[in-house]
Amino acid sequence: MSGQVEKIEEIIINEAKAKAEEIIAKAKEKIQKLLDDAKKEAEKEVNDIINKQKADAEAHARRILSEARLEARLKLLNAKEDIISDVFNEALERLKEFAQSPNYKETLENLIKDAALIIGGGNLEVLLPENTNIKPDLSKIAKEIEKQTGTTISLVISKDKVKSIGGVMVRSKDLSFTVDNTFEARLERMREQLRVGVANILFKT
Amino acid sequence: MASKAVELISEAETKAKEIISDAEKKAEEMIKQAKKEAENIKETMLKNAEIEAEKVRKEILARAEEEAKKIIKKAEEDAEKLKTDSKKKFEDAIKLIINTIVGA
Repeated sequence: MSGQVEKIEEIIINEAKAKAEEIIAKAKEKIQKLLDDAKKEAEKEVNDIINKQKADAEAHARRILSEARLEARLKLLNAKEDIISDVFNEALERLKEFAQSPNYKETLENLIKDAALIIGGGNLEVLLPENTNIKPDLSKIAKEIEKQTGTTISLVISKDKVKSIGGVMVRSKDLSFTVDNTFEARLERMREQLRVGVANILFKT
Repeated sequence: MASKAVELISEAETKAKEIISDAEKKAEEMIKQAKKEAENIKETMLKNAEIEAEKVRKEILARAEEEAKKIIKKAEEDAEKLKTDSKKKFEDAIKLIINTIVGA
């Protein structure tokens, strides 16, 4: 009887031990899955973080490069502008010197003729720059215009002066027409056309 | 005699229940610890990812800054070369302006 009871006790304890082992084994499985899932989830988040940061940085890098290219382009454009500006300034200086030279008279007369032709004849006044000593031959110019157009023309030097380094302003006596053929006015009128020509000379390879 | 046997078996059953209950508690504790460990692993991985991502970001930006510097430097060199080269054609450009203005 005692032996049977002991056997029953042993069976009960052994079954309990087996059940306990099963519980621990299942817990270990659950733990493994839990760790695997957590790791997988973390790896996904890690990839998301790195990919997002990389994409943001690449976008930032593209902006940096795009700004640098723009700055580079501006540097070249500014350099060209500076050179063109130097050329115009030097040309103005040379025109100022030219207006004091003996060859200037012919140019002045041509500019007067050009302005008078634009107005189309009549009684005209010629306004010269303040500091010019050159006297244009107005009767010669008038004759040339009359010959060229068949219209009568009267040209006189005005008492009024024009503020300019050279060239001339011609106006009808009734002030209804004025043609500004000073060097500065001509330069302004032709600036864009000249800029293209100057740029072609300087920068075309 | 029989009552002694019932008593012994009952004791064995109580002990068995304790064994199972202990195992359940142990399992519960193991899972609790594992959850903490999982959280720690995740936290460490994310912290490392932030460090790695920052490193990647700095590398990409440093490369871009370097490239940008090269672009600007080249533009400055090109601008200088442009100035030097254009000096040779300066006179022609001035002549164009003067001739146009004086109507030559």
